[in-house]
Amino acid sequence: MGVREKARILVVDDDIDILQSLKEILETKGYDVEVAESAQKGLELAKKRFFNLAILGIKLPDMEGTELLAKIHKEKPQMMKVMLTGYPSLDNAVQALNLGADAYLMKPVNPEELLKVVEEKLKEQLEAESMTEEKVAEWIERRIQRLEQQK
Amino acid sequence: MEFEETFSFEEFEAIRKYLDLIGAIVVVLDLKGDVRFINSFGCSLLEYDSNEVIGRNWFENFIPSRIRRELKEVFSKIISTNEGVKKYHYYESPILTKSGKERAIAWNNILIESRDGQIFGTLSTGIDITERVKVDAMEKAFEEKLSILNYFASTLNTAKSLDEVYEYVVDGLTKALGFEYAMFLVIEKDRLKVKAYRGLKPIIKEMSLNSQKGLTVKAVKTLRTVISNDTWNDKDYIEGVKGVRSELSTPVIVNDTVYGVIDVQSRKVNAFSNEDVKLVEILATHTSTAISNIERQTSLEKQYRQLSSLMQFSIEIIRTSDVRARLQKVVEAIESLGWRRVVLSLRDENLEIRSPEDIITAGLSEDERRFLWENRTSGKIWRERLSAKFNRYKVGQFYYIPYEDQLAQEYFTGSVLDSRLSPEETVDWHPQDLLYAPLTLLDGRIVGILSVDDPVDGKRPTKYSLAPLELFLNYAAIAIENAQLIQKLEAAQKRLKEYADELEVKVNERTKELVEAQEKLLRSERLATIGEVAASVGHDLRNPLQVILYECFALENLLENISREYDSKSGAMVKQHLQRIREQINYMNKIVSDLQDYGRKITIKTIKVDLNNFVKNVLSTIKVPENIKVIVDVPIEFTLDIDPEMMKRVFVNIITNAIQAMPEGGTLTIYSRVEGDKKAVYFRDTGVGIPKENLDKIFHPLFTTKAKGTGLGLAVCKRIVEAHEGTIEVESEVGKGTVFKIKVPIKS
Repeated sequence: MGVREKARILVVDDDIDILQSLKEILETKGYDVEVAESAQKGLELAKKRFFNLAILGIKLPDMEGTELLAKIHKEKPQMMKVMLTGYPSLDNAVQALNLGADAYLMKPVNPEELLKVVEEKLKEQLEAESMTEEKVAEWIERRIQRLEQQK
Repeated sequence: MEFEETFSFEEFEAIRKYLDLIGAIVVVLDLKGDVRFINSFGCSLLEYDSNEVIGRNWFENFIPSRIRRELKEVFSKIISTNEGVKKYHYYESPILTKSGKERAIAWNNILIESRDGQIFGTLSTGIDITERVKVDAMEKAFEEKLSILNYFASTLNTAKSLDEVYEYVVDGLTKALGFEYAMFLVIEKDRLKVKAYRGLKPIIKEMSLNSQKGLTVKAVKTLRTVISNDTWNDKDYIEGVKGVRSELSTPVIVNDTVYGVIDVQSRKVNAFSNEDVKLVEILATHTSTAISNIERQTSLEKQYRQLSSLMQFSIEIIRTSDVRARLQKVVEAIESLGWRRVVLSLRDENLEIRSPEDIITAGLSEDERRFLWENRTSGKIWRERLSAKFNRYKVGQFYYIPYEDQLAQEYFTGSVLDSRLSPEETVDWHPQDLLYAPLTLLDGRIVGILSVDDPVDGKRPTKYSLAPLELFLNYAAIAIENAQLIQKLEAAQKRLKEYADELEVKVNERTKELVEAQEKLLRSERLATIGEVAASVGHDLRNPLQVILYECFALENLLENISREYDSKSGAMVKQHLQRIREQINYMNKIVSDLQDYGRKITIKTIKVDLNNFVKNVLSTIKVPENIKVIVDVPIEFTLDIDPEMMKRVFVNIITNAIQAMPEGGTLTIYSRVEGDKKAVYFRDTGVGIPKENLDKIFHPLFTTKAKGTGLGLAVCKRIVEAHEGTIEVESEVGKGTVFKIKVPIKS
């Protein structure tokens, strides 16, 4: 595994102030951050560009956060998705996790905790990617061996 | 006539020879009172020869000594004064005969003058009135006896009783009228009985009226006086008293009925004259009047007694409140009206007696009462006895069934008490006669039967004699009716009162419920509003809180970079300030959470949770100060059926409160118990405690004693526990501590 380039993070929230503060914090920590104030914009960004991780607010002006989550998950299953909700409930959490969320955090979340989760999820993603690389290598190896045997 | 004129001696001499021819005594006395002439009629009256009379002193020899002195005085007045001559011109005085008898003479006295004109003496002409005087005397005696009788009659009328009358009569006959023996006999039923007597004690004290002999019986039968002046030769005579030779019997008739006989007897033959008959008959009349008066008075007194007893009992009955006591008075009243036994039985709708207490009696022994109860006549029979079949026996409201009646003998055998009347006490009442009446209420219902027996006077009842009984019969019916009405009234009043009480309770309950409901409504409305506001405010607040948190974090990061270059002391201070801001954000966050929790509907999904693990997990999220010891005393594998997420908030809240209640330190003990079909968790702290007045309110939303508190914490806890179908309770004592108890059902 080589040194990883800057991780890219998408933040979708209806509150511009939150977007701004969080963008600054994440950027301070060395992430490449893009923000969207609506689900629609967030979805467009997610389709257009690559993001390692998305932080999604649960309440958005144009659609439910869970709906956005489901749509993004469909488009980008590998993308790590962290749900940030102002209102905690087990149902919401379970629903979110079923829809493909990788983490579920309650507002107001402590920045330390959020950063910790982000870091963890990125690490998990990295491990998953390397797993895939290993499998590809193995597959290629087995192909080569079979080709050699056919010869 | 001129009596002053004197008769001359010459004139006398001229008529002298004729004087022997007249049937009157003629006597001439000289001034000394010596006899100078007496005619032959005078001699024969005196039973002397004329020579035995002439020349002898008239007064000394031919006048009874007892009036001699009186006559001498009369004589001296005649010869000496004109007034004397006038006064004693006619004079009655007796003479004494040779044989010592007296003869009554009516004298005519005049003076005789001598030839020289001097008063010579007296010329007295007398008529023998001895027989007339005798008759007069007899008449006088009869009249005396009559007046004695009349006086006696007034005495008779003072008699207070019949016995006194009898005694007075025999007394009068012997003492006042001088009869030898006397008896008073009275008719009782078919016998004539001696009630009083004077003289010898009678051998026979009573005799049958059916007897063919006996003067007294004959007097009763003939209604006339019967006399026998020679009893030994009288075939009708029966010797009632020894040695009697004459008897006189007169019937005493009172109000056209023979009452008895007055009987006088004598040991002499021919003892009774017509005068005696008259006297006895007159006495019989007086006696009849006296007896009639006494009977009238007795009957008046009886009526008066009955009336006063009626009034007395009426008053007593009215004064008595208890119905049985009233009925007791009624039967006693009837008893006092002349019935020895009175039975009043209270009966139900089937005319049956329900209990021995329902038989109310007067004049009965306990044994008789028991007999009546044990042999009580069935209601069916009584119904028959009061049916139309018996109408012909009705006397007013009563039924009187004489024993000789065929129907009575068919119906009334057995279950009858033996009569207390002796045969002598009965007149026309038979001991087996029946007399009863129903106690009928105004609506015609029969509620009892009154039976009376053994009339004191031994007579059959009449409409009049039963009238006072009917009064009491009606009293009894009214008493029962009143008692029933009062009972109904009391029951109605009781029901009404109960209803009123119930109503009041209900009204109070409803009022309380309404007030509570209104309060609850107000509270819930308020809370619903709060909930709604909280939900949106909460969400809205979370974002700025989030921003502040991010900003604090950014500042802290920045501070770390710059604090190396600037004063590290002020850098530390800034960091501390930022930390405080963060604490306040956390607190604000809690408030927002509480508000949101309260505002939303709580849904529970229970799972089995190990209590030990659960408590450990909860405690790990709470910062417990050093000076507080937490003891968890829960059995291993003790589980609760709860929603762990929800219940965690409850546990956190209670434990946090407990910690806050022990600022000086203390012990919090958490322990569990199985209580019936529920499981309970206790949180006991040794903190400051909650004052009594606050205990009820601590679960109310918005109630708080803390400076920083929404007052929603325990309210939310309560909602969560209740959503588990459980309960939350609190006990506390100021200065000692508080125990919270959560109880939740065990799920199978």
